[in-house]
Amino acid sequence: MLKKEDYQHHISATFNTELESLRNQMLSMGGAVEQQLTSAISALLQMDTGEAQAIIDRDAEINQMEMSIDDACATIIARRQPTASDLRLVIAIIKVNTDLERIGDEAAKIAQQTIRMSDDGISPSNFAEVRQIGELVGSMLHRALDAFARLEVEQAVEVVRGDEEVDRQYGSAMRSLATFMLEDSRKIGVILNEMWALRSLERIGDHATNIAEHLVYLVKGADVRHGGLEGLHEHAPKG
Amino acid sequence: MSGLKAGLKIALLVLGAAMLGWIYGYTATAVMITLSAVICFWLYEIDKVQRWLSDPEQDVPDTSGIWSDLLALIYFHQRKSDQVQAQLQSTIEYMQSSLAVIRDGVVMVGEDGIIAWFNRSAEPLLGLRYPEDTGQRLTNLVRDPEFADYFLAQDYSEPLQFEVTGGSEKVFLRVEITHFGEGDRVLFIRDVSDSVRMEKMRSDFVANVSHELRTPLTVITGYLGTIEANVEDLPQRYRRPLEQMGQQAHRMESVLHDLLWLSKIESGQSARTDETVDIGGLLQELRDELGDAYPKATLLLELSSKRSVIGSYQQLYSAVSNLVINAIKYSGENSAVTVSWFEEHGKSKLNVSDAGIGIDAVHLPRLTERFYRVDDSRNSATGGTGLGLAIVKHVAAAHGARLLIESQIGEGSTFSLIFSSGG
Repeated sequence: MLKKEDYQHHISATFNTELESLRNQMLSMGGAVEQQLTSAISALLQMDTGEAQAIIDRDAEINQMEMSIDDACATIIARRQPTASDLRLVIAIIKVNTDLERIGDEAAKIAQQTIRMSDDGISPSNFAEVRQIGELVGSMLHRALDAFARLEVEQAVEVVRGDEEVDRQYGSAMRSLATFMLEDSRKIGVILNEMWALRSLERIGDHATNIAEHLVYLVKGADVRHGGLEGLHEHAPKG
Repeated sequence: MSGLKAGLKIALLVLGAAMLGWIYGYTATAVMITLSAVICFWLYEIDKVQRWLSDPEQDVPDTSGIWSDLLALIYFHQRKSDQVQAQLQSTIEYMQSSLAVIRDGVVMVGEDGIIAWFNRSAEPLLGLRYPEDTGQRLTNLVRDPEFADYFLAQDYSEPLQFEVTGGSEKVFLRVEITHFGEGDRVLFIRDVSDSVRMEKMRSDFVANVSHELRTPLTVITGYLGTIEANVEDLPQRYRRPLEQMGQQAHRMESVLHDLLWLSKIESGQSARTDETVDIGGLLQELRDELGDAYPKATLLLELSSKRSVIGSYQQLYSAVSNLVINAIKYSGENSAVTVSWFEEHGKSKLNVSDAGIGIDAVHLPRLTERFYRVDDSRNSATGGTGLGLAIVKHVAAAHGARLLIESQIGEGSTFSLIFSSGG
């Protein structure tokens, strides 16, 4: 099993620092993405279009971070030819990087919906579902990144399990919004906007799950992406 | 000394052996056998010492002569360093246990940003877990960009207040960081969500009350205006009360206006804050406007700087006009007020000076508080709202400027706005 200290085992001190700084870079991008998500949800709930525009503008910074991390990964592969756990770390970071960037995109989409909603009118649902699912997804992302910082498989398994709850709540939110549409067909446009925002949140949950699965791959060396929860339990005992 | 003694002993032994050997005719052999015996004995003693040193917990071995002296010295030093270490350890534990019970979160971080230690209170605040998280990089676990930027910039002159991302409730933390030792840092973290909420509630309340009061007041002043226009229809004895009602209603309106304006500046919602404001032009405009309202007052402009300020024109205008109107009011009808805009030590300064009655030094610290009055009796004569200087202070803060007040009783006052960076 991989431990944090394993990154300090190289004879080359610069290689150690390179790997460590790659991880730090990824986690600080994670922090930026987390903030984007939190702000996007609160901007939507408070219909704060100024904040929403700021989120859309900040997405460029996230994209910039993604490119610089990708670049660093390519450099390490080219110059160090990493093997075993080092290689897994680099691969995992490349993948997490993509997922984080997508989460950033989805947050920007939510912000866009916020601006659109302020033009089209407020949904009659009071955004109870957005609040609930948003909280759930936010905590999933937070725990997935925490698990990455601590190299903790148990927490990653928790995150994967959390996604089932998100899917369940997403399904029931869709049904309740459909009821609103049936009640008042003039509100369909408005409610569709909210559905798009929910859809983005659900996607963010999926990306957070991916991040957790990349961590299991990094620590255990096993690909648990398409094995379902049973496959996960094989590699991560109890939890 | 003991080396000399041991040498003497060996010399005597060798001498005795040599004499004995000389009697029997084998001097050299006797000396050699004796020396070999001495070396063997010493080797045996060295072995004992070495075995004891490899595990000092066991009993001190019995040795003789120089070896026992040596062992006693080693033993003595070892005991002493043990004691010092125990003392140090207990001091560290004492310090840590005192920090551990503090209600604020305390985190100690090494030069490289690695967590060295943190107390129980820091765990829920930052989402850390003891002891697994020691040895982790702090910014990997507390990832809020605001915090990370502040932490990495290493400029801790001002504490940081930031909102924690994630979680259902809004949580605000206040972090103070201090350097100690060689590049080590200690963080004090406090949950300030309650005070942030209270502060927000307070300013929301003021804004809402002012807003709610405005509508009824508009109705009252409207009717008062209508009645005053037809004042001839009324008996003489009602005219004076009506006139006073009108005056006070206007005063209330301007208080509400200032309160709303103040809470707008405070919440940072006012229009644009990135305009390039030409202070010279602003002062000319102000002079033109005040010329109508205070025809007797003289306003002297001294514009030696051409610098402009980045900020909001509306806010700066209201701040400067508050200062100038105050100066005119408190310096008597016909006196002059001087406004100068100049550069000093690389900073831009705006001075508003009058030759009026001046302010007692005891009032200066509280002068910018809302509704603070130097003298109650003067209140009705000048008709101010009591919010002017509070507005000036907030506008200054929003523009990174400082408000400095100098005053001499009977000689006049100077209010200065000092902008740290010209535009």
